[in-house]
Amino acid sequence: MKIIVCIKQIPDTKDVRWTKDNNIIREGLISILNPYDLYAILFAKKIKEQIKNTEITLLSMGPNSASDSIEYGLAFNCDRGILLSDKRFSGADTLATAKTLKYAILNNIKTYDLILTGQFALDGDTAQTSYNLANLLKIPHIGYVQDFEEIKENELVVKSVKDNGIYKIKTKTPVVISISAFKDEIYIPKAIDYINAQKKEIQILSSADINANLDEVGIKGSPTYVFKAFRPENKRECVFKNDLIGELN
Amino acid sequence: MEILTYIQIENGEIEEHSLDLISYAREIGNNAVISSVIVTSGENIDFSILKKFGCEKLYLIKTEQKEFDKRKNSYLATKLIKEINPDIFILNSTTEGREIAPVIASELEVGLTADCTKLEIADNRLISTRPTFGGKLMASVMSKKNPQMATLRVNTFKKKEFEIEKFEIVELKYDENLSDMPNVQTEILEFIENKKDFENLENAKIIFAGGMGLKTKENFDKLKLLAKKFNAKTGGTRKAVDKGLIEKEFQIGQTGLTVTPEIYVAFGISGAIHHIIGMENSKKIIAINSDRSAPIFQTADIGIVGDAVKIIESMLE
Repeated sequence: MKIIVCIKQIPDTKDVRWTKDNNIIREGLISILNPYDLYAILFAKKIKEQIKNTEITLLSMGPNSASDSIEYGLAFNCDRGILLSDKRFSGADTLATAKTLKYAILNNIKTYDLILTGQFALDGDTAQTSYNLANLLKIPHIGYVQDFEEIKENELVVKSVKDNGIYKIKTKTPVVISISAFKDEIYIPKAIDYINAQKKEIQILSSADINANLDEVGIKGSPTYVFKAFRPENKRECVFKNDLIGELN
Repeated sequence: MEILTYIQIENGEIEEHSLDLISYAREIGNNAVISSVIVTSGENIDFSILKKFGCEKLYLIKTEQKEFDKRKNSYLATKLIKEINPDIFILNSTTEGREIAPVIASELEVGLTADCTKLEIADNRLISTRPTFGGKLMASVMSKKNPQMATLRVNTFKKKEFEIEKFEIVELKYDENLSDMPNVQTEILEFIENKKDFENLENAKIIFAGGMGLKTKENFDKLKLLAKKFNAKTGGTRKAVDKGLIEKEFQIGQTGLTVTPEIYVAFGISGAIHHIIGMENSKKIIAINSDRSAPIFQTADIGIVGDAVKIIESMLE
């Protein structure tokens, strides 16, 4: 089975500091792999342990430094990484991002059975790109997936947990699946996994490499734009006390 | 100008928060026509309630799919939008809204802003404001093309009655055997509906919520017992739900419920942003955590540094 896991490197939201003009202070900023994308990688790893000849490609869009997250992801028994990096991609909203991924998938990766993504990214938290991508590729999308019940070469049964209830859904491949939780113990890579990861290839592709229509990517291809940004007021001031009962009345 | 709202159907009824969405559209809509779209196979739904909360026109798309099956909704709604060209199209930020909206937006190649906490209209342009970077920055986003789309965080606005003169229902039926509906290739084998007890949680005056600091199911049972004593309802964080300490229908936060009680007590909750989103608009927030630097205290009015389990046990005595 050929799996693509779409991942995103994000600033650690616990750690973000701002200038007066609401720009991120890049200096000293810690970048991490979006935790939901790690769940997607763990699902891919789990599938690889069950289905013979599974190949996992990690696909990301971002600056060159985003290859750090790909390299980390490769330590989870993934096979190769592709980073889409080009200043023409910057400023992309979800639709422009999905179109960029689409170009790389159709023109470079070409064959795939399963595309896995995290349900959310902790920085932007739009949870839209995977749906856009599936719709652009004209393949089904299943979101809020927490478990696989059955995995076969060309067919999957998954558990999708939504507001109104739990759906058990059967799908043929190719399909896009977004992961919202991972219930097994999270694998912690060993030194040897990191050593092996360093030997694996990370391809860096530009807009020309993926044959992208430049009107459809980056800020130019984005139907939305940020009109203004501001810091929210801190509404609460915590007072420390010792007694709960007194506060409940 | 027309603002189209997406109305959800649950258990053969209009879902409660959909009425909030219509009222909000009416509230911010100036002179716009407020319309709604419903995709349903339901027969005995009382649609007149939409008028009460500000809707003037309902596009009712009849479908043959089962009530819980929403696989065709985005495609059928897209057909309607292509026909009527609304200026603005908004949905609630429920799992259903957040699944349907991006499919429609990419099909129409228009912009979509997710999970907004404020919508405004100026010169027929929609300004959608949403928290980013874990709530540390607010971004106001605009769209270059119509329909301008956004999903609205649930419980941002409470429904409100309006005097509406006329209300019409336009019934529509589209061909459902279309090849451009990839999700139809999937098959729903089983659907287990949530118990509806969580509605009580959404309307509760006092909520006792537990996190991973409670460690075991037994401790959650103690929390439930304590809640009963204080006439409170019990909820939990996503991690607690994932670990099976409390049932999914009591999950508060993103991918769970948004609650706004008079008093919210967080027992052993660290305060991950995904939890905060679901409770930050509670009137009074009390947090109990053994770690004084836990982020939950930044969202609390009252903080108690201590072992949540010991506090629960001593209060039960």
